Parts: sequence; structure tokens; C-alpha cells
Amino acid sequence: MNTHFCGSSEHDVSRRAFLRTLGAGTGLAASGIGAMHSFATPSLNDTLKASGKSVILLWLAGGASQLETWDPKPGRPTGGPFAAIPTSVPGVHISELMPQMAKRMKDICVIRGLNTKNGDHGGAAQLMMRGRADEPSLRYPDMGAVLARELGRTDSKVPDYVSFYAATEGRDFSRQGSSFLGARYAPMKLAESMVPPNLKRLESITELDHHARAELQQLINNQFIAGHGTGPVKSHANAYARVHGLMSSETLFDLSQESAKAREPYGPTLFGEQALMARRMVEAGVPFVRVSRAWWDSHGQNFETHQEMVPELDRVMSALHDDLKQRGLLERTLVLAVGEFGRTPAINASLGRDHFAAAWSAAMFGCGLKPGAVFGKTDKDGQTVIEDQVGAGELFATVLAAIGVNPKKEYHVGARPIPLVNPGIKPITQVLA
Amino acid sequence: MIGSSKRFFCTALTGFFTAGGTCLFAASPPGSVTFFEEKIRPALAEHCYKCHSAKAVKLKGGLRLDHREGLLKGGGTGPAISSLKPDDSLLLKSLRHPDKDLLMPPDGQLPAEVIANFEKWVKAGAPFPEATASAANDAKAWWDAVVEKDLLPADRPIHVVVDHYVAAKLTQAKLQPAPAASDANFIRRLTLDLAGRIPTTAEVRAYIAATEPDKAAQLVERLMSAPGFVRHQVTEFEWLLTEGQGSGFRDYLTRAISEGRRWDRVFKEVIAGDTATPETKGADAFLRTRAKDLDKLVTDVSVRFFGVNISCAQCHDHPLVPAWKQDHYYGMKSFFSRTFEHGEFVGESAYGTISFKTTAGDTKQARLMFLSGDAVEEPAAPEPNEAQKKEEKRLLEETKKNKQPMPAPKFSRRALLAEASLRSGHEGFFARALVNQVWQRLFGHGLVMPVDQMHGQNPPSHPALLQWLARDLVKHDYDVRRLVRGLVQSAAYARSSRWDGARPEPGLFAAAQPRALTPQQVGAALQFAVTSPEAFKPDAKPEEREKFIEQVERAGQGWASSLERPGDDFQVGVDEALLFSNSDRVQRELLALSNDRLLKGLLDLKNNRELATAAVWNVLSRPPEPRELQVLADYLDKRSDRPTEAVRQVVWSLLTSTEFRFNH
Repeated sequence: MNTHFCGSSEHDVSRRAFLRTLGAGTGLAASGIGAMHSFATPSLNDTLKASGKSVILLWLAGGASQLETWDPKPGRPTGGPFAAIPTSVPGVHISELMPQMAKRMKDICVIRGLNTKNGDHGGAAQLMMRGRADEPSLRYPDMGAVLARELGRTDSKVPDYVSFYAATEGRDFSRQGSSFLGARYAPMKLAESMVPPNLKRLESITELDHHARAELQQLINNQFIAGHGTGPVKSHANAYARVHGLMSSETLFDLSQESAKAREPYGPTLFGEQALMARRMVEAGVPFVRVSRAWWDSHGQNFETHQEMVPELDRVMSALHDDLKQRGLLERTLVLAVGEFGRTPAINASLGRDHFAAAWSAAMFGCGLKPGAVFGKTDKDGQTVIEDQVGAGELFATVLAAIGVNPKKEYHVGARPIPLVNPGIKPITQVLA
Repeated sequence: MIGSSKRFFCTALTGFFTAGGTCLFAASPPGSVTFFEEKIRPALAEHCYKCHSAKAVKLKGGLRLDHREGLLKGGGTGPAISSLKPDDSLLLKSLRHPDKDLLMPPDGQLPAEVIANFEKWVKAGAPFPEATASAANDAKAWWDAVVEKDLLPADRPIHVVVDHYVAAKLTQAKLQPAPAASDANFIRRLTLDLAGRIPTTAEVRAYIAATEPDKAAQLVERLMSAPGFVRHQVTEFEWLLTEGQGSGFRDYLTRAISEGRRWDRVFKEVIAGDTATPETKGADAFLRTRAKDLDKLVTDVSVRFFGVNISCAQCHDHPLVPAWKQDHYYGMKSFFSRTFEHGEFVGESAYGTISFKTTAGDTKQARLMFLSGDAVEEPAAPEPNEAQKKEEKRLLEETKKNKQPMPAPKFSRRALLAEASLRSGHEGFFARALVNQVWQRLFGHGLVMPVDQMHGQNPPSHPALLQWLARDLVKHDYDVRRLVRGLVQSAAYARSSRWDGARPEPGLFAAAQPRALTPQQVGAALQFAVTSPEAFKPDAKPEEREKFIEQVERAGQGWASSLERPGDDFQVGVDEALLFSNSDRVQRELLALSNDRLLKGLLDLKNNRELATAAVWNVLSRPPEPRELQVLADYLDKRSDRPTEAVRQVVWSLLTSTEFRFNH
């Protein structure tokens, strides 16, 4: 009667949850476990409380320096030229390059004890996006795909996962994947253009024809689907049923709909525009938006680079914060700013900082987080984490928990249970509201 | 040798349970299965099963705690639980006992909370999903339970055997299977499966018109002898083995499959990775694309050639397959441990072993071991001396610089695996996996599901059938053509896919399972659908006709590259729907008005009913249903002011229909 899923005591959490969905242990073989998969277990979806929530990921590709942002070490040999300034949270200082965020610090939550152990762009980007390293035989879905799956609605008229990645640097490193969750949860990628491909009706087809042919298609489909109602068959019809809804979201991608007054705080840069776009999407119910800002990889001239880029991050992030807050979206939106790693405390001969994953920072705010919390501590030179060290998995789990998705929830690949984060990985409760 | 990062899965959870398993879920009643699975089984597994279960190395006190009967019967000191006086149950007494000698588990009392859970559970009647020892044992592999002499005789035709076993199971399930597919349905399915494309209108019409009783068999022969059969087999096996990665592999497979090379030989060549001869050039792509990561290599060899995923056992003994221990994983890995990436080649060293860390924390040296659990003997390979090592290093550098392969070692562990895994008594893994993969491709559902879980504790839907087919494959020298031919000639393959109401369990094969087309099939199908029927010139010479077919097929490759290969739980993404809805490629490439295109031919037809009929025939490979014809013709009538655009919308709606997207 036993079946083929891994029932090691090491995975018994999975086994239990799995059995729960079936209601009884004895009927396993009879109920056809072969048919078990992640889409067949809506009863396991205990994330209803998460519905309507969203995450915006500000992806700092190349690796921003924690020392010039969230964890400055002024006056130390590793500190660099910039000062630290007090913030609206007593006792917490951040880089002087971030005066706007300093003012808003009481709403922000900073993780200063990241040790993610991977200093290679490609591997590290995947690790941060997926919350864990892949296995030889299994690629994990990334945060966007997981949230698209958990938060997206089947009848949604907006995309579930949008990813802006204009720069070429690192675009392939952090190629997102929905992996075993399937194309349904793959990102709508915006690389060359701010408007997604194939969203706009071709001018050569009239609105009338566009609708007429969809109606014809549906009429032809009805009979086939009635006699062939399997999951994959239905998914085809569902995908086409979403087309018109998605096409109507075209105005979402049109920034000219925003007043000059609304656009001003974000600034004139592409990063700013995309962040504003992300706000528009979240407002329309898109569960996950990634906005990438590249060129942080400052092996040379680290300080010039950061002097130029951190103020932009400061402006965009604070504009996004204020905008979400004013619109009452902060209660249901979490914003996370992180890249694949931080930068070395040691300053190299080209006045640069190199890749560094042993003691770096991430910042976030919004839904489900404790405002003003600072978690983790590095030593006086920023070389090691001396308090509250966490890895990529904990950060991933924290984001899930903050927006109300149970990180212990499981998918199934074949019959193997796959929890959303690796077993034993827990959210950082100290920063959860 | 084990990477520390791989161990997190195992170590992390143990701690989780000692906490008492209280954190995760809302409380469930002690008499429920949920309570048992959440609170009791994990504690039993962690603290008791080392000595009191089927997995015990030495069963202590004759007591088994892995099934209910074992608890009731108890061991040498009497029943472990008492239904009359639950609180006096021996099990509870020993858990609570203050005396160290009587205390269980012997290494220390369990937390009070865990003991309290046991008390609640025993008081609730100690429900246990596994009633008897045989339910708990699980030790015997399903194939050992199939008695060879009970199988149908070996000389029966494959399709007869398939239908015999499938019918037996349907009778048992009291299920009337779907009727045979219509001729049009059948030829579309068969052409997609054997040629990777849809049939032309002329082919469908000719098949429907044919009256010979063996016309299906004739069609099978015609398709299997056409060049398209080799191309499609190559595409499928290329995907199965390398997922399109690795240069030269497609050419290698094309040579092997077109000359009908037996699959055991292909397997040996791929595992050996020997590219010295013209016949084997490119065969090393499988190894080449994986040599960097030996864990991936051993996992992929196990999954793709033997149908088993043993990666569980990388960190701990496989819990449900008593036969698979860490020794097996590292035993299999040892066959590849001397393999390394060498520039553009794959090298193999003549010596070297691996060791691994057991769950108990000991370091253990791995021995060559096949999945069957048999250790495999090999010649001794002493470590070379310093001078030899120096020479080896020099040779490595020199060959790398000159872009040459390293000379093969006298003894190759990989070659030994290829040989040992096909030895009598071992070959079942390879043969069953190959049968199951081909079966899944043609029936949309494996005899064993998932196809990478073909271990002894995961029985097939039809054990005797799989054993018979595997035996047949071995007896006929791993002739894949023979297997394919036999399967598609069965009545089970030829059933209608239509099923009104709730579909029966797919493993009963009561109806054909609709299968999403592969990207290559979609590409080819699109091109065939939009090519005017006249373009196939039925009276052209066969070679010319074949050439044209290949040309049309190739034109579809651009579409194939934009689509995802369907897996088990395939879902069509909205990207695909948007692409076909709004990309101008659809207008340019599929709905163009040029010569030889369907659209042009349709516009020449004056009558709208005729036009709609021809469109349905060409795209869906069947005559239209009356209702469809009505809807399409009415639409065309209404849009008679701009017929070209109207016909475009009709063809589009057929090309993007769900029916077209599936092999049904």
C-alpha cells in the first residue's frame, strides 16, 4: 500500500501535510498519487489571508555596497569616505547618501546580518531569487513564480509576475524561472521595452475581428473541451480566456496616465519610472513585480559609483514608500531592496569593492513587517556577522510570512513534497509585525 | 566527498520533530489519522524503528511498532498496548518508566509532551494506518511478485498482450472502455506519434476511404518506413537524454536510429562516451554536458536510463525503498567518480575512489554497486606513484592544450556500468524504464507514474504487462521499433479520447489521453495546417514528396523554439496565448496570402460552406461537425464585405483551438 513518495523521517512534515490532504493514510495507492501535483491541492492552500497582497522587489543587480547604504562603518579603514547619519529610529545610522530613507527609517526594516556564502553573480542571483540553491535534479521556482502561484487569481485580468530588466548586466544571471510550477507562473519579462510583447492588438486586425475570432475559437473549443476535460486541456482554454483581460491592462503600462505631480518624486530615470510602474501594477492587483537596477558591480571606483547610484535609490525607494503609503497600499504591499550580494569591506587598489556575501544587508518595508526594526549586526569593520546571522532562505521565508503565505506549504513534484522553503528554514520573527 | 550544502534537508528536520511536532498545524483529535501522522509516526520513526520495525537491522524483543498487529501482538513481554486498560499499556509504561533499564527509548526519556501524545493516542484506540506486517514490510519489489511462468507466452504479438492485460484490468474495474477512434482521429494521432506532424488532407481522406481490413497496420508500416519516423524518434530521444543540449548528439542519434541500432548498444555508447569511430561521433554529449557535476550525472543516468531517482539516498537511506541505501547512491556515483571534464572532451582516470558521510556521521568508502544492490567487482587500481602522477599531469596539460582527448584508461568504470547493468538479472531496470518511457510517450501516461519512480515499492498499473513487455524487449535485442510498432497496433492505443463525464483514472487506459503537442509537433502541425492541400502534389515522385514534407516540417522550427516542452503537469501559459493572439508573426507566416498557402486556396472557393469545410479539414484533419460548419459559414456570410479578413479569422480560430494544440 505504500507508495513512492519519499517518506523518510527527515521529510515527515511533508508526509503529514500530504496525508492531511487525502484525509486518510490507507487509501493512498487507490487514490492515484501519480495524479498528485501542485495544482491538484487547492485544499492545501492555506494562504487565503494573503490574497490581494503584493511584493515589489527592487533588484540591485551586480551587488550594491552595504557600507554605502544600510550598514556604514564611518571612520574605520573599511568605511570609505562617506559619513553615517542619524535616522528617525534613535540609534540607527545609515549612509549619508540616503537622507530621504533616513527620515523614513521608522517605517523601514533592515536586515544587517545576511551571510549568503555565494559570491558568484550567477549562482548568487539564483540563490537570492529562489531562496535556496538548486539540486542536481530539481530547479526551484523563484520568488516571483511562487508568489504568482500563491497570490494570483485564475481569472485575473492582470499579469501575475512582471519583471523589468532593462540593463544587460546580469540579466541572464538572474533569469527567473517558474521551474516545475510551469509556464502559467513564468514572468512577463520587460527587457527592451516598457510595454510587454504581444499585449497590443495588431493594427491590421480590427477590434471587431479580434473579438469575433475569439468567439469562433470558443465555439469550436466548447465541444472538444466537454469530451476532454483534463487539466492541460482546460489550461489552454484558460490561457486564451485571459488574453482580452490582459490586453485591457495595456493602459497599466502607460505612464502618461500619471500626472506630472505624481511622477516628479520618482525622478526622471528609468529606474524611477519602472518603480512608478510597479506601483501602478500593485494597485491593479499584480502580485509580484521585480524592478531591476543594474551596474552596481563596482570593482573599481566604488565610491563614485555609489555616490551616483545610491541617491537615485534613495529617491526612488522613498518616493515608492510615500506613494504606497498615501494610497493606502502599504498595508498590502511589501517592498524589498536586495541584490545578489554586497561588497567587500576591504577597498581594493582601484578604489573598488569586490563581491562579498559574508556580511551584507537588505532593506524592506510594508505589509507584515515591524516598522523600524533592525535585525543583525556586523563587526566594527563589517567583515563578519556577529549577531543574528541569516541566509537567503530566511529572507525568502520572511517575505512569504510577512504577506501571509505559509513558508511550510508544500508543492509536489511527482509525488515528492517540496516545501516553499527548505526544511528548518524559518522566517525572521523579530522583523514580522 | 559529499557537499555540505546537500545535507541541510536531512539535519534540519530532525530537530524539528524533537520539539514535539507542535508548531505547525492546528490540533487534530487523537483518534484521527492526522494526529497519528503528525504526532505519533514521526516519534516512532525517530526513536523506535531502529530496533522495532521492518527496517531494524536486528529486531529487538520480537516487537514491531510499524503496524497495528505488531502492537497488539507485542514482543516477548506481552502486548504493547492494552485496549481494556489503555493507561496500563506496556508501551506507555516503558516510555514513562523511571528505571533506566526498562526505559524506552534506551538513550533517554522522550519529552513529556511526546509521551502525552502517545497516551492520548493509545486511549483513542491506537489507530494505525498499516494494519499488518505485510502492509508495513514493503520490502519485496513488485517485480519479484510477478511470476514469469504466469505471463502470457512470449510468442504472442505485442498488441495482443497489451489488449489482454488492459482489458483484464478494465473488467476488474467494471469499466466499459471508449469506442475505437474514428479513422480521422486515428490517423492524426498516429501521424503525430510516428512522424511528428499532422497528416495532410489527402492522407486523411485516403485513409478514410480505404476498405482493407488491415489498413491500420499498413498505415503504421508506411509511416514507420518514411524518413519522418527517424526524425521524430531522434527528436524524442534527444529530448529524453540531453534535452537538446550538447553538440553532435542529434547527428549521432540520427545515424543510430536510421540504421536501426539496438538501444542497448546506444546506451553503451552514450555511457562510454567513446567518440573515436564515425558511428559513435557525438555520443559523448550526454556525459559532456554533465561532467562538471557528478551528482547531476549520476542522477540523470539513473533517471533517464533506469527510471529511478535515487537522489534521496544522497543524504539518507531511501525510506520507502529498503533496497536503496546511501551505499547505492554512492555505489552508482562511483561508476562516474573517475570521469572529468577535459576541455571539449570527457576524460576518465584509471584510479580513484570516493567516500561519503553516513547519516550517523561516519565516513564510509563507496563500493561499485548497481541499483539491484549487487556489488560489482572491478580490477584493483592502485594509486600511481609520484613519477606516474607527474607524467599523467603532463599528458593532461598537453592534450588539453592541443585540444585532444585523453587516452582512455585500460579499465573504465563507466564501461563496466554499461556492461553490468545489462547482465542477466540486472537488465530489468533498463528494459522496464525504456518500455515505460515509450509507453508514456504514446499513451500520455506511464504504466508506472511518475516515470522516474520505477522502484520496487511503486508498482505499475499493469505489472504483468510491463514485465512481459520488458522481457520481450530484452529477447528482441532492445529493438525500439518493434516496441513502438506493437504498442500503436493495440486497441488500447486506438481508442477514442472523448469521454463524457468524469474521466476514468488515466492508468486504466479506458480512453486515449489527450496529450499536449511537443514544441516540434506544434511547429510542424502549424505549417502543415497552413499549407495548401494542392501543394503536396499527390502524383509527385515519392522522394520529391518526402523532400517537400521535410521542408514544411522544418519551417515549423521557429515556432517550436518559442514554446515550452510539456511535462507531466503541463499548463499552457498566457504568453503562448498572447503570442498567437497578437504577434505579427502569425499574420506574416501563418495567415499570409501567398501561393501554396491555405488562405489563398480557400479564397478561391466561392461557397462559404465549402470554404469552412476545407478549412476544418486542413487544420483539424477531420470533416466539420454540422454545428461547426453552421457557425463558421454563418460568420463568413456575415462578413462577405471583406472575405479575406473573414477567412483569416476562421483559420486563426481553428489554428489556436484547443483541439489543434493536443494529440487526442
